[in-house]
Amino acid sequence: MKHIAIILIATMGLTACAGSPPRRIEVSTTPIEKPALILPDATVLRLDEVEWIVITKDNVEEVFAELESSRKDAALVGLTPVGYEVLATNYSDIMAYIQQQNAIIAAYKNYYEESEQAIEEANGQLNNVESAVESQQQEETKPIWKVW
Amino acid sequence: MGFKLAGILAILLMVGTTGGAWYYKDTQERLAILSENNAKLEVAVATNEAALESQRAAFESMRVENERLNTQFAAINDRNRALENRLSRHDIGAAMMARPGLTQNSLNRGTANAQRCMEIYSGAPLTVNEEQATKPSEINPECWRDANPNFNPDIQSEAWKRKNL
Repeated sequence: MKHIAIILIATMGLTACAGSPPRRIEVSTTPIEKPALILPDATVLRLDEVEWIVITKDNVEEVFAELESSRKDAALVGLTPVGYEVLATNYSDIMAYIQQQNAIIAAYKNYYEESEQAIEEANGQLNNVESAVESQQQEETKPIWKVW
Repeated sequence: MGFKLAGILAILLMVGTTGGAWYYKDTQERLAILSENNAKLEVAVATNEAALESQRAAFESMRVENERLNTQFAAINDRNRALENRLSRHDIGAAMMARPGLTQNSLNRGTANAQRCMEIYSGAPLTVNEEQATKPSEINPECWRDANPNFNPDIQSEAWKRKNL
């Protein structure tokens, strides 16, 4: 009886660990596709010609006579030379601002294109790993008679 | 006694065989689940690595773009200051008094050039003349870097370089 008890206890001991099966991990990843941003281009500038007329105390009468003869209004909007310089530098500042904005837009474009490329590469690597794992998983499990 | 022992042994053998088979099956199932878990963890690790790599690439790209932008801003500001320098070199008031007609033409030309630069910066395509300009007399002095791609400033005279670069 003692032997039987020992054998029974040994058998129970051997199978005791089999009570709780390991937890199966479930991983689910759902990529979210962001639609590409498509925007219209800004309207290209078509600027009309601006005509400057230089007036001095020596040519003022000549200038107004010419305006009248060409049937234009004999009135002028004036700027001093300093005022003209200020206008020119303001104009130049606006040009610099447009150029900086263009550079910023180009930088955004480059950044997003490169990021997209990096994400595509990462997804490619992931697909490789997943397919490698899948093929590993699909390997046939050994049947009981092929243990040795 | 012998039959009893044989019976008990037979029962034990049956229990042992059944238990063994069940144990083998259970172990195989556990192995399969553990192997599957391992595979999933491998994918999870690869996902993390890929995410980190894509983050690293994004930061690197951001650094490069910032550097490029700072260089471009510095160049734009330099060019902008060039106009101020040019204006400070000339006394426009004195030129207007001395040669009003000539100065008027010069102002009109400068304004037309500056307006053309604005058009180009807004995306207007270059004209054939702008594209083919190679001489200082053919270029738009206000924005030749953008308006005249075939103009080479390095081969111009020292006087031109002093005034424009």
